[in-house]
Parts: sequence; structure tokens; C-alpha cells
Amino acid sequence: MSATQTHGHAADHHDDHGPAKGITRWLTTTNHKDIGTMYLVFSLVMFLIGGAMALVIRAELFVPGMQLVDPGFFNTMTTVHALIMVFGAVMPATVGLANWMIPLQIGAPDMALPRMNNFSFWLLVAAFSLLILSLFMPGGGPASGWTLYPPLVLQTGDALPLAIFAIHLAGASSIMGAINIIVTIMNLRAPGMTLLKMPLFPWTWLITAYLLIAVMPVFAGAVTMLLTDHFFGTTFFAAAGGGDPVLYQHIFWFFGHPEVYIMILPAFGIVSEIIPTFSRKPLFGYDAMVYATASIAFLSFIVWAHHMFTVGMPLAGEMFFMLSTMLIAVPTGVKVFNWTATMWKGSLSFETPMLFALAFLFLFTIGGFSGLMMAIAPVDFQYHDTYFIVAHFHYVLVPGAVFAIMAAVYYWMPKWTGHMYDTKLANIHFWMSAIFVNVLFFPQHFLGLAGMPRRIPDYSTQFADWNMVSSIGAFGFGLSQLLFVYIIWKCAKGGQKVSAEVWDGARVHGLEWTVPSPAPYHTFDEAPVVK
Amino acid sequence: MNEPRLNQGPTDEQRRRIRRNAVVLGLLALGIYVAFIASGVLGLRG
Repeated sequence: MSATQTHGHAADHHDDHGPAKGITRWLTTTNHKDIGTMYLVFSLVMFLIGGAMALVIRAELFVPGMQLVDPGFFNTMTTVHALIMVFGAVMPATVGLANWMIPLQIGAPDMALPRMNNFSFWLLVAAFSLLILSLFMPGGGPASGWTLYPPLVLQTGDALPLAIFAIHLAGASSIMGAINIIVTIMNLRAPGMTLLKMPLFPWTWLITAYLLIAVMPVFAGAVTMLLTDHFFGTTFFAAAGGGDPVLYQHIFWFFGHPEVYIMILPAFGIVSEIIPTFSRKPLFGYDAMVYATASIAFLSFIVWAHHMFTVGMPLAGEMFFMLSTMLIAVPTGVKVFNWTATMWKGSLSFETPMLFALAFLFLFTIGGFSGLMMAIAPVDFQYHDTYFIVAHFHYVLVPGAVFAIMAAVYYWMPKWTGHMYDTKLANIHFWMSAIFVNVLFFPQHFLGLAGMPRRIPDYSTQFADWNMVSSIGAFGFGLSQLLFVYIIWKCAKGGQKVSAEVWDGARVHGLEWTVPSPAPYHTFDEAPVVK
Repeated sequence: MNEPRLNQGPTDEQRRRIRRNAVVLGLLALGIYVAFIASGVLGLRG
């Protein structure tokens, strides 16, 4: 993206009208910045609700024996925590960042379909209101894990149709958001901005959007079949009627594995924006980064059965899914080495976004390595459904995706608000998060290797010590995020004014740094020209 | 392409393309949804 420059006064044109006043602004807005803000606030609220559920889980597991909640409610917490974090926190956060930043980064005045943009946001609010309401239904909330495997899930009470409807609404919202992002990038790029001049964040989102369109309908199809099995007498997944519960697992993971990349590819894009800025160098191997992203997306479609090695499949199938999974390490390795090479001989500085990006680099890689370990089919027989898996995917998603989102918030928040955040508090937030996230999740590797199963509210006393350490880490990490909320609130209210460029030398890294800070309500009414 | 151009929203041609692309992508998503349910139905019969 270093080749990107602008002419004239294209970037800072001020429009003749601003936002509507009061609540109407937020209900009816079609402005990409307003909708981006709403997505980000929504995801923060969901992050806190999902986090509170995680603390219920960790409080129960603090010591062996049943302490605080009954086993059914514990299962509901593990299920709804995951659904909220995946569909309500991480995905909407990256959609919010896309809404805010993609038009600014490609020189577009807004998203291509602004009314649909508003609709997809409010659909998401409806979806999660329903999901949270499902907790209060007779028989309790959904309690079969976020994978909703039959036949267990079919034992859910009245919460099941509510949860399935919520998933449909959230899926429709995601698909509409993805369509919007694709048509915006394909049709509204500034003159001269070819696809291979586009910054990495829109690139990773373009590929993510295609993934969403390909796999969200698959998940919707799977849960529709669950619904008909439950209410209309079909037997898609019931062996007694000629169906096959393993079919559900295949369909679910055909969606589920690309879903992991839907959460992590935008994170790759964020890190690819931040590391060059704070290394004061262009991104090393830009083209290779784009192709590696596309390769990861393609491979994500052909690895799904590594989630189900233990269901019993032919040896050839196990070999195929084992090797194709290992292949993902190649493009991922390209990315990790390119980020490292970008820093090589760079003029590094360690502002908060860079600290989070570096933590991402180290800790996501740990999650990647444990993923490689589990790709080995005979070894996975030992790890399957243990805390080792829990440790693995939390390393990928928390110090991976969530840290990248936090890095993005610190990186772009001065552009959104016009103020620098409290740098001292932000650094404290980083160090507390980085320390506690490891205290929380690293011991879970030991627990899993020692044989502790996942999704249980009680455990043998041999697992007591590391569970206690993990729970202490959880509460430390949770408290650290209250500081994050305070830092955001403080920055939105005021603080040291920042220039358009915000970060030293950032202007060469993207068009967003050519508009004033805070970014005006309407930007790029005059299209910038990219050389 | 070298002069800044006033952007009064998308041009008519861009609007047409945006609408067409959005409809195609929407139909693609719908097609995948139906196809997976149909594959379940066929699997059940087979």
C-alpha cells in the first residue's frame, strides 16, 4: 500500500449536512461511520456479556466439586458463551471495523448499499436479543455446546426454536454485510486503486466476505434440518428413521472450519496494517500476503473433518484431512515470516497497537502450533474433547482475533474520535491482558494433556491446581477489560487532539490518514486519485 | 483518471452494477442453502 498517494483536496471535503439528532440518528442512519460505531459498541456489550458467562464457567471450575451452578446451567453457559463470542462479539467487531475503515481505505464515500447496511445491523440486535431471551425459556437455554450436535441438541426445551431463529437472523445479517462489503470493494474503489494496490485490511475482508456467503447458508441449512427433525417429524440426523447424526457433524464443520478463518482473516489484515506503520517500512511481500490469504481461505474448505477424526472414518479420509490441514501451515507461515521481515531493520516503536500486534504474532503462533499437533490424526485421538482443544482455540481466538481487534481499536480510535487515548492506561491494559490471557489459557494445555475432558462442571482432584490458576487468570483478564471500556469512554469524551496523520509517517500507509481527525461525517465526496 | 472527480454517490452505471452484483451474490447464498438441505433430503432417501 506504500504506493498509495492522493492528489489535491480530495480527502477533507466537508459535507453540507451532518447526522440527525437524538435516537433517530442511530435507528435510521445509513452512514458507514455511524453503523461501524454501532457494530463496535454492540460487539463490546456482547464481549462483556459473553465474558461474564466465561467467568461463571471459571468460577464453577475454580475448585473440584459442584460449587455455584447446576450442571444444566453450566452447559448452557458453555453453549451461549461460545455463540455470543463467535457471532455476537468477534464477527460484529470485525464488521464494525470494516464499516468504518473500508470506505476510508478505498476512497469511497460510503458503503455501496447503505440501507441494507442499517438493516443488517438491527437484524443482529434482534438475533442476540432472542438468543439471550432463550436463556429464560422453560427447560433452560440451549445446552448442547455451540456445535449443536444432534441427538443431544434435540433434547433442548422451548429454547431450541428461539436459538435456531436467532442463528438464522444472525446468518442473514452476516450474509447481507458480506454482500455489501464485496460490492463496495468491487465497485467503489477510488480511481487508480487497483485490487493489488488496496490495503491488506480490505483485501482480507473481501476474501472473508466470500467465505461468509459460501458457508453461512450451510450452517443455516443444518439448523433448519435440526428444526424439522424436532418439530416436523423428519429424521435427517436420527438413525432410527434412516438418518445419520454424523451427517450433521460433516455439514456443521463444513461451515465451522471456514468460520474460524472468517474470524481470523480480518485480524491478519489488521496486523498487516499496524506492523508496517510502527516499523516505518512498507509491508514485506504484499503480493505474497494477498495470495497467502486466498490460499488459507481455499484450504479452509477442504479440512473440515479434522474436527471429527474420532467419529470413525476410512484411513484414506484421515490421511487426506490430516495432510490438507498441515498444508495450511504453509500460507500461514508466509504471513508470520512476512510480518517478521517487515520489522527487520525497521525503525520500530512500541505504541499500544504495536504491542497488541506483536502479542498477536507470538500468541497466535502458539495457537497455530497446537493446531498442527492436533492435525496429526492418531495424536488427536488423545487430545479430542479435552482441555487441550479448549486451550488451542482460545489461543487462536483471544490473543489472536480479540487482541487484533483491540490493536485495531487503539490504532484507529484517534481517527474516529480526534483524540489520543490515555497511552499510560492503554499500556497497562495491554500488559494486564497479555499476562492474564496466558495465565488463563496456557495451563489448559497441561489439563488437556493430563486428560481433563471439556464441557464438564466437576473434575477429578488431580486437575485442581491448574484449574485454580486458570480461573485466577480468567478473573484477571476480565477485570483488565473493564479498563479497556474506561479507556474507550475516556477517549470518546476528550483528550489530546491528534493530527490527520495520527501516527508518525502513517500517511504513506493508507488513505484513511489523509482525512482529518476525527473523520468528518462525510468523506471522499471528491474521489481521491491513487497513483 | 488524473483529476479529482466530484462524487455525487455512485453513477447510474455503478448503481446498476452494484444491484446486479448484490442480487447474484444473494441468489448464490440462497442456492447454497437450498442445495445443502436438498442433499440432506436425497441422503435420507438414498
